[in-house]
Amino acid sequence: MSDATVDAEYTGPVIDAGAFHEWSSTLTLTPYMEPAWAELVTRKGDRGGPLRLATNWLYRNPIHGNKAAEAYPPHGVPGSDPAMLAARPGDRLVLGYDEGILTTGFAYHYFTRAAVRAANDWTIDKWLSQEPRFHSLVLVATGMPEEAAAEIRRVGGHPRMVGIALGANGLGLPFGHPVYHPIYDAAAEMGLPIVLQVGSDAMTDMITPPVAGGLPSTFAEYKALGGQPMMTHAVSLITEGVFDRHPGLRVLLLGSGAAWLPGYLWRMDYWWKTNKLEAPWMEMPASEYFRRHIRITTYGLEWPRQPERLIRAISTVPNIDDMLLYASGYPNSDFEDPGLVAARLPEGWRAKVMHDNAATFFRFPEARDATNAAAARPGAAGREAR
Amino acid sequence: MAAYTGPIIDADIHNKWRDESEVYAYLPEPWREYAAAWASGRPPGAEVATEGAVRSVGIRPPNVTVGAMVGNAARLVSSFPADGSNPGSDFGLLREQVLDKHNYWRAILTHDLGEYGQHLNQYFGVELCRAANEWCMERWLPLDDRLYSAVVVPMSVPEEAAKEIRRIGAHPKLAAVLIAGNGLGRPFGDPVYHPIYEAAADMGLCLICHVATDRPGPQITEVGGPASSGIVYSSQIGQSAMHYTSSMIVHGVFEKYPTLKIVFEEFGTSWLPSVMWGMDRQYDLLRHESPWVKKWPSEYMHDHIRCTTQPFEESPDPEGMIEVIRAAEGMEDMLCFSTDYPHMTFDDPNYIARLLPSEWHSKIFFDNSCDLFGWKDDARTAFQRVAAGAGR
Repeated sequence: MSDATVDAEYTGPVIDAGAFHEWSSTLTLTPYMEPAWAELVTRKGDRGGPLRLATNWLYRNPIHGNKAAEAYPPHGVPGSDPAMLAARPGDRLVLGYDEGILTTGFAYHYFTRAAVRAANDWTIDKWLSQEPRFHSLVLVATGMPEEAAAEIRRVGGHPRMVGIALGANGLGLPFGHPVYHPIYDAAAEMGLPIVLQVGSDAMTDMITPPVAGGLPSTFAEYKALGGQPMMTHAVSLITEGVFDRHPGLRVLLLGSGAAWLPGYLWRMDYWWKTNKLEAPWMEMPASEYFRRHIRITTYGLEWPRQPERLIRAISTVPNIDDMLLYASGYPNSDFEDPGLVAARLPEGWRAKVMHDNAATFFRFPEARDATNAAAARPGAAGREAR
Repeated sequence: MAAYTGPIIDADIHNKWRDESEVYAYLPEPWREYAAAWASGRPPGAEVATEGAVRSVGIRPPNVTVGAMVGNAARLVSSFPADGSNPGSDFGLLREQVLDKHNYWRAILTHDLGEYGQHLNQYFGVELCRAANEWCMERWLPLDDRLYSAVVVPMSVPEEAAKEIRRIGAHPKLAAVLIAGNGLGRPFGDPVYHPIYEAAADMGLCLICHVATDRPGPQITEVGGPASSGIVYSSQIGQSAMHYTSSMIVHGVFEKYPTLKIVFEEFGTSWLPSVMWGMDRQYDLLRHESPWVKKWPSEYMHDHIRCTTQPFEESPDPEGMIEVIRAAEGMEDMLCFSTDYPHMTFDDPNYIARLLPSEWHSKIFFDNSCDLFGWKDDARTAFQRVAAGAGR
């Protein structure tokens, strides 16, 4: 798409903040479930086959499928073969979930709880142990916030669990709503950032639609506008005081795009100034909260035919080069390799976006050790008590 | 309570394709290609070799998943054809297990579930409805004299739905218009849907409203929050039919189209008295809010609203449910027998006959449906004579 020849190739370090690993079938997970749930999912002898344990996307790519043709392994679904993901470029890969998010949108909370537990144990067992470059996210289901918090505490201590994948919008509320506080309390306690993904509101069982103004008819519109719920979730997190409660909490918007950001931040600041009394706990302009706490992936950016136009527009946001994290989106059909993305970035942004920003965003093992050392110091409980 | 040996009309039998390509064959390009890509959900040539449940793809629009927890894909185990094709796709099995097993006069094929129009790409939905109608007329209706069906329409594009009704509604074996799910998230009395009702009335067709996928989603199928389990979903499924009934009365649908009737299929029946009485109680208000409402709501319901018996509510004492029907005057005139074959919630005709007082049998198994679908007396009496002669 872009004319990459004008710039030198990027050869620096890379962290892929968003590649997706998937289980091929729910039978992959049943060994990690309690016997009763495993039996219910396996459904031996049932003519309908095993339980899918997942809801459906509202939209489906009608041309290519949702997955890249080259991402299909010999056996299983795209993203299910550790060897293929291990062959991906990058010094570190943060494995999140794409199809797996559908499981967190399953309408029956208790099944969902069983599934995310199994998914996390399976990830640790079958992925993190296979390849030292693999890192992953604690998958949680938001429909039962207390249970999500318990799951974060159960597996979030694993050194290569470096964040939390907030799944489907299980309660149909903006993610800053206090009903979700237990999740952020646990995240802050474990030092883990939150990954919020486009698609959280795009499932058939959700009561929150993925696009404002009514459901669009086409996949194309969904791809172009599906980041809208992320706008709402971010303003909700900021204005409802989640970051005042947890000054160290970090949130990544995966796939949201960024071209909307300038006007969005300006409007938020204007209305914060005008309506300050609505959110008396806010200590600084909304844009400042966004700059300190929220990051956006390159996957999902609205690259125009002339990529520099996007760069020019988002450069109006101070420090935007500190806020972008490279993510491939592999194995989705629109995944982007590091070389392609780096070539579109100004030279001064490349090391930050391709690596440095992610290195400090996720709770990588060295960051955890530093946190632990800090926590061990007397009087370090800090501002978390609010 | 006695057995019933008279003629049966079954208002709800689900017929399905053996393979989706059967239906795609009736699509024009480029929609045929779109449908194939949509249903496969992957790039051309890419195959997924795995065991177990992978993902739900196919011709059906994306739907809520509470049904996924029901065993055997919510179908009767006995209805699975030996060759592994879809339950409901094998006419031989249907004939053996239902049509020939009981004294069937006619059956309405209601697709499975006919919600093609709920594709969010409504242009595809329009084409798919047309293709499915052609498929049904060509592949099913000629198979047996007893098989009838309904015009499937895209409820999200009312003008196109009306066009489709006028295009094929004169077919002698299409006896209704099938509304499978809510396309626009408005209650069914809303004027936006009236072109559909006008076309149905013009063609002398009744409406079948069957439980199916709604848009925008589960928030309108049942209210108070989306259903989490099959228990919640299935037990509350009548909620939307209650509102559709009041809505059609309040918006004056039956004043505008006095010959129009609608049958709610698979929404249950025990909610009828509550709506009849609840709406009658508001009659004074209705005269101000909807001045075109000229009769008691319960009168409109008695004349225009029907419900299929399946899933027949079971009271701990079988008399309880009958008492409810008796309490609502004339409710036995509003019920039409159906099996829902091959779904697991299938009601066997003998089972329903045993539950019902014998004086209602001919109404519920036969007469009410004859009136609903506009089938004339001569054919009925001829069949009854033959049936009597055959000693069934």
